[in-house]
Amino acid sequence: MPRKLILDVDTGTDDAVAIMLAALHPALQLVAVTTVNGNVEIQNCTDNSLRTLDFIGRGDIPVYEGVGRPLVRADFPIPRRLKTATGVHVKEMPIPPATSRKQNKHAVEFLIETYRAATEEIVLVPTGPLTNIAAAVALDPGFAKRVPEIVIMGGAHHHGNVTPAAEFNIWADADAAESVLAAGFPKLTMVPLDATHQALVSSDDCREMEGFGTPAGIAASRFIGQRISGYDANQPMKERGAAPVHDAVCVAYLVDPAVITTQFCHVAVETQGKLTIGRTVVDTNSRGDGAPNCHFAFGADRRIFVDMLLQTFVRKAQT
Amino acid sequence: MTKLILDCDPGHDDAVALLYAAAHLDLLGITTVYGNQTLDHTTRNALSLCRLAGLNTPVAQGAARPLVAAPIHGGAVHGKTGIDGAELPEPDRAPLDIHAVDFILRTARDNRGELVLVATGALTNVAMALSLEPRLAGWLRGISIMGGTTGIGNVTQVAEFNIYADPEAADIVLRSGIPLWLVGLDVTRRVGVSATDIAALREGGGKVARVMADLLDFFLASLKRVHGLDTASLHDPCALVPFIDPTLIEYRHVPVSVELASPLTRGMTVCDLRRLGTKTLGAIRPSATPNVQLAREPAPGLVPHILAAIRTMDARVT
Repeated sequence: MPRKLILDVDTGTDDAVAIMLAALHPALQLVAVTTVNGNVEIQNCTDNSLRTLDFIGRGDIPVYEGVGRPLVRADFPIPRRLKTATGVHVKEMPIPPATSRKQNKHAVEFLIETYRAATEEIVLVPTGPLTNIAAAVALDPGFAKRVPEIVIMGGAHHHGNVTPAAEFNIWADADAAESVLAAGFPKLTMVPLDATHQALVSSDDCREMEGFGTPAGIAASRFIGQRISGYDANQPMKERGAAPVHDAVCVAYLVDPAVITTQFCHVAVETQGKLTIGRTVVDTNSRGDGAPNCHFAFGADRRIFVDMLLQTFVRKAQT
Repeated sequence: MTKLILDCDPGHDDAVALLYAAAHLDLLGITTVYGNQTLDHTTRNALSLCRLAGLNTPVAQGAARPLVAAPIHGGAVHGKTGIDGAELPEPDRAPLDIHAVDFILRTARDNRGELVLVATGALTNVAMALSLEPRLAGWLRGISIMGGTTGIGNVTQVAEFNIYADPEAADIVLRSGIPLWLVGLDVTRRVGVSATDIAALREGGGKVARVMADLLDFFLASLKRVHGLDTASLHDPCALVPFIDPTLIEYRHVPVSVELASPLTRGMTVCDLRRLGTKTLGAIRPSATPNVQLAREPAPGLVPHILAAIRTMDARVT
């Protein structure tokens, strides 16, 4: 029985790779994709998700559009023209336009209804700002308890990306993130930069994927290639010609838990700091009085992750 | 030989720092600050340690409380006296009758361009000196600090004791424009002595080595109880490394500031460890100008080098 999951994304080059891994891996069943404001504006997140699914022959997977703004903070979305062209993300994914259409239902409504009706385990995997999830928690007090497992891409302990102290997804809607961490999900796992920066995908890996000639291999090569040039130019990793593909690490973890190593501890989100807003405050040394609420990943296994991408994208879609 | 004032709150690891400084540098004075215990205790401890090690270094008493914050002290780790665990000699003199801040200013003025400060406690004295005499920034060759962290905290989830004790003072020092070195808990936690190291120090040692071994035994037991550690972290001696042998720690020049506004992360040293290209895009906030040589990696030779200094001071006395 494949594991069921819902991806909540802000597609986004790494979200697109996560979608493809979730849609094509034989051990997973991608129930739906929901979209949220983040890497690009919400309508682009939705369009990019549809394009990606159509391109790999999985246009059958429904896409629900979610919330277009952070819950509270007013200084984001930022001017998006800055987040295009030579960056890590692009406004429109470099694949043909979508033929599928988004669903009419709102993503938050879909999430609440789906978990109310669920008879089997469906893992929730948010890889963008946590606005939709916090909205579901706010609208339905029983929501968190009904989601058996949530795996979040976000946060940073040793160094941030958007600010010295914070990672983008959490920073972009810090209030939503704090609400989700405090909501009492039965099992919450967080895959932060500390882990994803250890699971780099290289230009050589991209060439190999392109050589597969499959839609997913070609698309992954393009998306990750965009990331590598963006990272090399703007946020160089220790190794040039390689980039993290954050969101896909969460999906890989559902297939093989060994892809990350975690510590179970209390994590809160800073919502008031002048320098630290959006920081995941990880209590590694039991200094606070909060009970552990999060399996926080400090490490990732690059080989397991990259091998999984390669073995999945060499396959053709089986619907 | 580098001229130095050690601003400290002894404190077990401050005691080791005091000996490490005396063994290698021209120690012009010791200034004291509240912290690991109350100011009365830390001053008395500095004088006792001087007597133990046969040092006639001037000791000036400084601030008894933070600039703005509510006072805290480190009794849980350092005990009732601040250096519980060993028989130390009674002080054989009183501190100078001038305040530590005046002593720092006078010494810096008389040794322009030569003096360095090494601060191993809360930064209250240093910040007060900078506020009273802005020219101090031009007189000092540099300040090296034990404080802060890039990850693990020891007071709160994200804050280290010395910075958390007086975050406003830390902010003043970090903005001073003076060449700064900072060694945080993330590094000093990896500079620890084991029970075996301590036994070896005691073995065949004289009075100074035996007292230091007793202190380190107490400190190790405290750190094991409070933080679950297997080695006693030599936090404070690490702050002397830039002036004794800079190859013993690897540094990186980065922007560091301290969070003051929010209770959850107050006193956190926000260290910009990102490696950004020249042109950053999108939401990425650009880096500020680097202001701190931040310790990143201790060399394997650091612990033996510090322990050797204790033996050196032991040999000088005996």
